[in-house]
Amino acid sequence: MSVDWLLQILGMTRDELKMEEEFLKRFRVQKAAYLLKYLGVRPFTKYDFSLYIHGPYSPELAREYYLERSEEPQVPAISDDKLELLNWFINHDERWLEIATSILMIRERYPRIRSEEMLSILRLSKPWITREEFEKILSELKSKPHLKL
Amino acid sequence: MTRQYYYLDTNYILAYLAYKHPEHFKNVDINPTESRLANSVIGYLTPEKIKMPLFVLAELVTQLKEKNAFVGIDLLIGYFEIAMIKKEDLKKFVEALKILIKDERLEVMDGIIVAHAISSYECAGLLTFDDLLISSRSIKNANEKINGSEGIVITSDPRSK
Repeated sequence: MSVDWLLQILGMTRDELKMEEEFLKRFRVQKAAYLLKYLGVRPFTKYDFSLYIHGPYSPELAREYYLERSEEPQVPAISDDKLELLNWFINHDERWLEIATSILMIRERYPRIRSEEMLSILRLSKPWITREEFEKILSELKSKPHLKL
Repeated sequence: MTRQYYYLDTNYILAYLAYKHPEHFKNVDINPTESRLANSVIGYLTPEKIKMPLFVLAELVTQLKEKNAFVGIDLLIGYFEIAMIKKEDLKKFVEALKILIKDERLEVMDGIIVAHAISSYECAGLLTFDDLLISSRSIKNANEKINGSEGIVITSDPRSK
């Protein structure tokens, strides 16, 4: 039910996610779930994410939303302010989400990393990121205390 | 000489070959998203701008054998020019490798493939799906040490969004 709960927030259905052309919807589910894991919201903490083609991606989560219905009975206990943060987060476009979740993941891996070094690592795989948009997105993320950046 | 070639990592060439020749990969676990992307990126860059490092060819042969996928020599080396380490790049290659082998998260063969790409005067980027490579701090450090601000990219898709 945790996946169903997330799909409800995102205004999506499992059937839509199974359609090949609905990549962007699956993309948004993955990024929203990653944020929830980052925030320590159970049961999303159980998913392992790797920095994949478009940022964090969990094959295990993908398998779960491809099921007819979830085997996971848990509904997340999420505070109102984290829910508000999730809504703010998922209201951004795909490019923003890809950069923002990649920033969070690199920060998770290297907690003391400086922003300049973070940009260098990001540009290894995403050479199209401009300094301006990186700094803007990082600043937006830093303005959210729950993200602890 | 400008940096004009992209080098392929083993997982990338496998994904590409699986897209081009699915009949040989029926029993091999290849991610279809990766296959489609590899085909799309290589088509966009054009095969003339892509090389397969000799180290990658060696790893590819081993992996195909392990997977019981016998694709034949024509298919294996018929698509891309083979890249080897040039004598003038050897010092940079060793320097990069010395940095990378200190990172225990990197496999030795990955370190060699990345060091080759970083040290090559002609390499613009390494195409890979390997998460450990595209987000590695030690690779970033080696790249900056050898190439300064004119380093290579290590990515699954170098195209702008």
